[in-house]
Amino acid sequence: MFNPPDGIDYAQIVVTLSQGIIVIDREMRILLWNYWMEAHSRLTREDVLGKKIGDLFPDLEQKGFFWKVRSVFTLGNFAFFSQGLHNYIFPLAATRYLETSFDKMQQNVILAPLRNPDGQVEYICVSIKDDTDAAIYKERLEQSKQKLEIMSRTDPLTGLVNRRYLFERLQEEVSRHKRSGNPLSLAILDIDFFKHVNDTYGHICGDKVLIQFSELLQNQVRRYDLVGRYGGEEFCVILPGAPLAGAEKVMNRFRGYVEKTPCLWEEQKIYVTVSAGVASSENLPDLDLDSLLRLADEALLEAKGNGRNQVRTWPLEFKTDPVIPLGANGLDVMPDDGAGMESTLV
Amino acid sequence: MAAFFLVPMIIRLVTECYMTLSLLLVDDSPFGRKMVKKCLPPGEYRIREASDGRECLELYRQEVADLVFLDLTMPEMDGFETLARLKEIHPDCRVIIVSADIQPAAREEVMKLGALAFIKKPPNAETIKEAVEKVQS
Amino acid sequence: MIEFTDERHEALVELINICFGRAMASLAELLETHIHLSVPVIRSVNPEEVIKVLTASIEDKDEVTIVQQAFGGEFAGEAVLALPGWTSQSLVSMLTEQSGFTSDLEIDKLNLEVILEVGNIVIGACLGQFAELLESRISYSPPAVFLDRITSAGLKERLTTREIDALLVQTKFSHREREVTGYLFFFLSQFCLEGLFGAVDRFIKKMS
Repeated sequence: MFNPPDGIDYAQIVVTLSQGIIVIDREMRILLWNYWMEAHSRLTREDVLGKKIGDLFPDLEQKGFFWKVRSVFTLGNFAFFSQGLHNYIFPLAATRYLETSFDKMQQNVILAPLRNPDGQVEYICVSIKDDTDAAIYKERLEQSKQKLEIMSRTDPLTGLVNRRYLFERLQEEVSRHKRSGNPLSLAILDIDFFKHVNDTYGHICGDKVLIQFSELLQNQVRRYDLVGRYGGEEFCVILPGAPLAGAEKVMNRFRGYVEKTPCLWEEQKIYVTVSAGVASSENLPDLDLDSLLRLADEALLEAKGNGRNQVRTWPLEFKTDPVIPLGANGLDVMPDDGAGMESTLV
Repeated sequence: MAAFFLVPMIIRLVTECYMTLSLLLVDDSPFGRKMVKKCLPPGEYRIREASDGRECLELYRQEVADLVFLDLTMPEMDGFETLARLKEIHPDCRVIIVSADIQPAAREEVMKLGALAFIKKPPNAETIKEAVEKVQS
Repeated sequence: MIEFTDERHEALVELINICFGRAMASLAELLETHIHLSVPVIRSVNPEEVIKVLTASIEDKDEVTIVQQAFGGEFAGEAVLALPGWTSQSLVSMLTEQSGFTSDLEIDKLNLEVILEVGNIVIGACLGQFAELLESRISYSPPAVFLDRITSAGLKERLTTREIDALLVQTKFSHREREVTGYLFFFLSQFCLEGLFGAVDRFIKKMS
């Protein structure tokens, strides 16, 4: 039996603890309510002693409070409500005012058995710890993590995904293609004579061109295509579920827009064109990431060598209509070319 | 003349037989059997022990016991099966179950099979005494 | 290697059997259904064996979720409940349909809560009875999901143990109708054995 040392008043300690202490009996009546509880619930001892805890806090039932109480009375062990899962059990106001998104105090609640001299569980001690600070830090940490993740895969200038992430996603799409058999296409684009733009108008203008180009490209592709910046003036589009013909059509349409859409810079209109190479899984029975990239690149080289401002495919003989006219509003809504909608790309 | 000596001898033998209770303690745990032994009310006993169901049946076949203390959780042949088989050998067999498995379902089952009492483990002197007295009456 | 006198070993085996029997009964009362705990295996293990023991029991299941709970007091150690991945739905049903378990959590959090709760009550039932029988007090840490949905190979990779022997108590936990099974392990490290032996000796004395 654990006996308090002489001269130390346990009652005072319990009353002044910086966490909530409630003692309930088997009828769920409150037998002890410490000062912390009074301060945070604005219910005094007179208000609560002898009353049923469920009457004072009607939401306890749906949070599973009474089930856990029963388990402690039956088994004699402890029960836990973690902040991570439940947020709070008792609706007490958060004490912080600044820098918190929680208006209810976040809590860790523990139920502990209190035994009589015969060893039977007679009461339960409910202890409530204010965990709001930890919850705030956790939230911030999670936000930082997410920001970091996004930063680590985003190209800061254009907002497109970066090369590293492109490769990651491409590998995933190759695996998915192998499992499902749905087609997969890849396009590599390179702005023609971009160095010339930089040399003539300056790098800041060059950046603006890149940004506009990226925006245009993002708007042109389908919801589940992934656009990334592959290099300085090189871009890459992963088109899951798209057959070669469809991918080529999309890239050609884009090529047409770029040709007709100038970038405005210091009252000048700067026009650029783009060359692109497209490869697809259709002609590659044993597809892997390296071969898909290589073949798209070969097609791009063919486009560059053949006069630029064009889209070439691999195999090189594959041909469709080179130019698709713009719609009346200047932006055509593309038909869905892709079959598989498995991937949800950022 | 011979009768003069024989009669008290016979009387002594008969009363001894009545006083000495033959017990069979069945439990795979030696400590479990020890606990039952320690809780027996004072008296004369002839105690045999078995550590599994098969041994129990063998010993019982060799010599009938007045009272069997039987554990339920034993490997290979558990208490339920042992009880059923004992009843086959000797329908009037007197069995007290001593077990840690105190779920109502277990209790009902052994009563149905013909056990006379059910004692929770660990046994204490009182409950064992009650059970023994109940069986003797 | 953890050494026991014969008397202590016999008493401990019997004690643990009694505990598990009572734990089954109290779990049955709480869950309003029949839970079965197999006859426990009790032995001394060294760190390599710990890994073997944990992976051996889940060999035939695809994935397991491992709930771990530390306990302290006169004897301290760690309890582990390994549940096959596919049992989450059955566990949720087992708790909610029969025993009146309620929760306002959404499905992902609910599955986690249920697994933690099953771990907490199964472990707590056994330890609670143990403490009661030995007239000792146990304090518990909150249960935590140690490894979620891990395969046997992954477990081998991720497990590290301290460099000391432990006392292992192992049982299989099952619920027939719902086809839920899991493995329950209690590890008491060598350092806590003094407390355990003290309590067992008390028990032996009480029984004589």
